[in-house]
Amino acid sequence: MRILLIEDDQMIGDSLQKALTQSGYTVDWAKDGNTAEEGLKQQAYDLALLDLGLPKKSGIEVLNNLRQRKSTLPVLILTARDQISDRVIGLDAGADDYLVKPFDLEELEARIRALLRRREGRTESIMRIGALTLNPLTHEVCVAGEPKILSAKEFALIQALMRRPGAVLSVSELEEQLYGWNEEIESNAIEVHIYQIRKKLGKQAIVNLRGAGYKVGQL
Amino acid sequence: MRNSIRGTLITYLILGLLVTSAFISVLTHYIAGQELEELYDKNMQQITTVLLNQTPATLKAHSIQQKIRANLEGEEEFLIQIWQKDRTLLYSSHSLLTLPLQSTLGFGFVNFKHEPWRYFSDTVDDITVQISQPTLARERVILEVSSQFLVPLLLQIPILGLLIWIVVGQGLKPMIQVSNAIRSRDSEALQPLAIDSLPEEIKPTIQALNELLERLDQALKVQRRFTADAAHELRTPLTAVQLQLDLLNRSQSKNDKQEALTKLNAGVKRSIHVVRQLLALAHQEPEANTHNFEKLNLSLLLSECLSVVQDIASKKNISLIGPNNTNIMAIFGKRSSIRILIDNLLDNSIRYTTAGGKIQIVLDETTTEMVMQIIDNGIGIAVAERARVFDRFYRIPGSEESGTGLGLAIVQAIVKQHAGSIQLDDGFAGKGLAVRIIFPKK
Repeated sequence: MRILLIEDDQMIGDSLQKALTQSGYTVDWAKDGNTAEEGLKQQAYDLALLDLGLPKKSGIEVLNNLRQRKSTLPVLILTARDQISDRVIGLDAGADDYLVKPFDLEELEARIRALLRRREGRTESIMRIGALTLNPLTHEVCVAGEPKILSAKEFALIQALMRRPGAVLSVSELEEQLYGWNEEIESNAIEVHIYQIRKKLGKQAIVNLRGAGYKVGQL
Repeated sequence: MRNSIRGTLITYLILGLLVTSAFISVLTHYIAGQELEELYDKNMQQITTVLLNQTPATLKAHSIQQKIRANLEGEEEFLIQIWQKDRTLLYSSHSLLTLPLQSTLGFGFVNFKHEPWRYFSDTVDDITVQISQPTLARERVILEVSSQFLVPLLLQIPILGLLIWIVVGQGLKPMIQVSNAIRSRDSEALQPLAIDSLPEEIKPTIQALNELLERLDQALKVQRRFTADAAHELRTPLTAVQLQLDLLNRSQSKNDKQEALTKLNAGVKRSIHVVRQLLALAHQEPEANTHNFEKLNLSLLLSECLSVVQDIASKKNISLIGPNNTNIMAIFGKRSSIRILIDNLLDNSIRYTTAGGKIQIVLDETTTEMVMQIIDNGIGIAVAERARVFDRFYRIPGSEESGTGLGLAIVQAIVKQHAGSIQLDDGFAGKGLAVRIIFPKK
């Protein structure tokens, strides 16, 4: 799950990237409005976290341009401005949610999950395919109720496949979901993760369609 | 006594009325006395003249005597005595009163029956007439006359008092209206009061009050904007601290924990810095008192500040050159403020000078001014930005260094407080920044 973090403050950006990465998200970090806009044009994201007071181009401007391109990307505004009028401007410009600094990491993550759930049209937070269940909140993956321990990347990979049951994702699509701008990708990284997941969950957890990619299977 | 315009006016006006009334009474009494004395004296003279024109024989006649009595009715206080040449008493208006004939003719005073009498005597041929009157009788009349003037004088006191009471009340009505208008306002309403309909006398007061309200309104607006900006500025480092703390709580390995702690430490330090800068700025408001100013040795203060930052400069491989002029450079100011000023300028200079750079401090003195310059060859400030960098919370767009945007605002506030001036110029060889602070010599 790939998130674009748009934040000019070094300390906040650094902490958020680290925390969200630990939670299994792939996080790209843009430190100014122009970089953010470029990123949004070039890469398909699942969600954007947007600070409003940005150098070079304001957050509101970035948001306006995004919505003008007819993008439905969920946008969560993170800002230190707490006046009602600021919130109204942000939400009117097309933001999906608004969080005032300082905020709790737990709350931010809950709101991110809620926005992603809404985007996928799910009402329940736990994902379920056959005997396989995944809880995005607790990061718990179970097969027939039995918990399995996955690494962050393995979790992100199975989550990406479970979000679109039936769809076949290519290796490069999976790489995009799992690796951010500055992360090195080894040539067979995805294959290694899939090997590990199958070992932990069962061979049928991921189905390989030669030449096309992978999809989640029935356990 | 209560401080009241109405009370004071009435008290003083009535006191004044009483004093003038008393004065008028005394004057009236004196003038009326003079007049009456003259009148009585003339009267005595006239009666004497009339009587002297009679012959002794006529005067002796009973009928004449009756006539005299009738004419003198109402003037019983006059004692009329007529003597013949041989000193036999021909007539006396009051036979019981035996005032002897006085030796000198004309007007005079004599003591008779233990009281002073006024008398007049004249003689023709063989008749001598003497008319006399007790002076007390005269005075009684004078008192009576003058007291009649006193009554209207005393009567006007209550009338005027009432009038003053009403007029003053009317005159003070606009004051009461104004005070009601002020009382009915809430603390947010600082718009000026309407003064067009007010009397001339209180217009200046309300005008002054309006000016004060306007200044207050301005100050309040500035304060509100500052508070809003300050809140914004405090939220950012606190957000970082909150996230760093959350990360610390989540960290599993010892290494992660150590890294999170280091970052948390940096975040807390940054929050403290922001709070310190905000407080420093609040303390440097121009209204802040100047009574704790003292004579300061600028070169000594500079070397104290330099010794603190020397380490940081060395770590960045910046050569920090102190002033070669170490004479006593005396300025008049607040020690803590001047230190904050120097600290902020040095901090800025070190922050925005790249590794291997150079910072030099120069002190100069003219007959009227002290000039301190901090010159570097760092990234400098574009000419277009130089005016704005003194604004509170202003940060140059794209600025990489973390900062509060308050440093130069604090510096400017301190310079203003010390009646000095500040200029920004290019630093070494057209690069970097030169900050010139000019303090007036006291």
